[in-house]
Amino acid sequence: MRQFGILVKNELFMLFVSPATYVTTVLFHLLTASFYILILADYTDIPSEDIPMVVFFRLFWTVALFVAPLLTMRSISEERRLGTLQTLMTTPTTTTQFVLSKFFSVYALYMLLWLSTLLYPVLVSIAVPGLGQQIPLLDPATIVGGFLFLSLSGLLIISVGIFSSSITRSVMVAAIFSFTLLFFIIASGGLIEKLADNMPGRIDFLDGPAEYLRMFQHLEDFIHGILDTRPFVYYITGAGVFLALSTIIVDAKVDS
Amino acid sequence: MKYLEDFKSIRRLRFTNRCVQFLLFLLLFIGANYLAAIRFSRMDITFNNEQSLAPVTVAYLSKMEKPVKIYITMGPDSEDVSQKKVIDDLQNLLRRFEFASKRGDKQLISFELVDVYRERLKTQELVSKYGLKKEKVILVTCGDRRREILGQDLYKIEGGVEKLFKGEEVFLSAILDVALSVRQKVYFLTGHGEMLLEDVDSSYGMSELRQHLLNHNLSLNYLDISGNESIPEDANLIVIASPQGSIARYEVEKLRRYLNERNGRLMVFVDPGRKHGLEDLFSDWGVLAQDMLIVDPDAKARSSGGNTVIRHFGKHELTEYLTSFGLTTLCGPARPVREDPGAPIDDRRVFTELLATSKESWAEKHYRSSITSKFHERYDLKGPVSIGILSEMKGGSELGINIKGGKLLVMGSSDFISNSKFLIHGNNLLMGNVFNWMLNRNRFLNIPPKEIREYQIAMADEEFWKVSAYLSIMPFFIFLLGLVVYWIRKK
Repeated sequence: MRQFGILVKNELFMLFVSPATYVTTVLFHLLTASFYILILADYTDIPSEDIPMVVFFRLFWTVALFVAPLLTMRSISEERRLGTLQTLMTTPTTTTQFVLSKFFSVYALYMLLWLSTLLYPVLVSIAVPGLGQQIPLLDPATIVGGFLFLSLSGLLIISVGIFSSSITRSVMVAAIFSFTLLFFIIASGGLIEKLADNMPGRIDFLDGPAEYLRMFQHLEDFIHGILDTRPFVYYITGAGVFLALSTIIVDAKVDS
Repeated sequence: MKYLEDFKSIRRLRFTNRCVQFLLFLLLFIGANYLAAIRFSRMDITFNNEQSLAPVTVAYLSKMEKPVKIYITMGPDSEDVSQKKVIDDLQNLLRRFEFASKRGDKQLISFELVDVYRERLKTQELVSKYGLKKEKVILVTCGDRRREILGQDLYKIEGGVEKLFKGEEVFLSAILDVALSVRQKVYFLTGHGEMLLEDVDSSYGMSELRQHLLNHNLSLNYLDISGNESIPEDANLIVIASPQGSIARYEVEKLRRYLNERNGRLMVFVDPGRKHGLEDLFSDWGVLAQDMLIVDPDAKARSSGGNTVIRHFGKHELTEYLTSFGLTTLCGPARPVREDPGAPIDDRRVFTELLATSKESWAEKHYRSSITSKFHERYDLKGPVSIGILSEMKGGSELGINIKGGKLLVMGSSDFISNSKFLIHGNNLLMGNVFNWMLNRNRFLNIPPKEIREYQIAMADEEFWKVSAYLSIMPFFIFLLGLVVYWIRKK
């Protein structure tokens, strides 16, 4: 456990001093702040039943698709490329500890990025003091549900990124692979449903799994204040599988 | 031992070991998610449990025993914004119904969206099993029983804007209706030349109404009270559809007792020029339906077929939808039906004039003898003339005495339910609403409709730029921090 703590601390420090982290963070905020401004602009034209934070959370996937590969692409592939992985494995550190430390440090940064978006409604309230009376900028159920969803889905998203980074030495390949895999995971429920729609009656048995895997449905439930136990199990076990795979792959690479 | 010392064999063994590890993790993932899918729970963390069903709904659903399947059929415009909103609202609501009807790993209520243009097999099945006729339908089914929910029942509309979503009470009512073994019974009086349910005649048949009522899971029966028979105990509503002859006094007495003593519901359609014999009963209920003919010279009130277009509706939940969307109803010759000015004052009685002709119209008394229609101040009734009236007796309990209520609806024309006019203009909507209302359908007092809130903001350009400037603080600050960290590291 001590080694794990040291590894996490070290990983967090490396992230803090890495220019790539700042580039990613600036891009993240440019993207999310633009979304928030555009959402508010929409409210001046068309009335909506949802509050701005609900609409903002609905766009999480665009951010996650780009930011998660950027944050995770270097985590293991860089160690393999520079040859520091074998050196690290000569210390009393297990592969599991190594993979988990990579995972937790990136996950902490990912969640920190999302939590910092909570400042947007606060900044908007300061900029235009009367706006909060026209429209609820912060709704407790939406905030709690939305961030709970982001933290749960984040487990799976970051673990996919770590897995992608573990299979190759190339940072670019890791990023592209991670992007593709995330796209399929995020869209999987909808894709299966579309497939079932186009083949009526033939693959009806896939309706259940499609419903279960629909990330956007999970999101809708959470941002409307409904906490469902199924996404908890899906994201936690899904992250577990990808991290286990990463550990197995890193183990194999160290052995070879 | 020698085998294990061989590098190739060790590599193979490790590879197999890793594959087994991966398979075990995968199995664990599948197993855990399978269990999660069948044993799950949902928690509502909103302030007023806004996302939960009302306790009364949950209590009713917990008593359900039969499975109920709900079909929502969609047309090609399902991607249209307003259609999508309705479907989203329905899905949101029905997911809650599904969860509330869970029994272990089984769900008693389930729903399915059916695209009638793409899912041919499913559509054919619905057509053959439930007689699906329309493109966009909400069907609540249980075995062979079905009830159709109309889109207009789901929202309360004010000034063309949806203000309340009434989906929960409407669906609960429909689900209980099809899942319970008791069906509400509507009796149609016969023996006086009334219109018949099976009759396909365009002006004097009611086969279209019959289909409509069967689609709403009502049990339809004929009633003849000319003999010793009394009104059945299970009569939820009695309809008298355009009697051609007078109803005998003793029959009227049976109807009066049914209304007064059994909290009865009676709908009467009386055409001009026919004797009906219900004058005394109407008088008791404060209704006056004189034998006059309504004349409406207003060009806007005449349809191409010479029928009267009715655009004026009283303020009542039955006519809300028509008023909000500017719909009209249509009828042929009609007699005035209004509140009796000579009726004794009774605080418990509530009158609502449902629909009326234009201001230019009048009700002519001597319409049989006069060749041309002309308004006579002395005999005739000046417009707007009421064609339909609702007389409701409020029941309740006072000083330990149980006071009976009742509802009487009198319409001055049978065209509203005749085959030729039932499906045109807003007649179908109005009559559908009337039947539901008379039978107390879709009404659960403990289920409040969900308020539809819409948010819009007013922001000047200056404020918009101010917001943009404030939100750009974050990336700018992080950029500066990154530069500082880079500079320190470099140094």
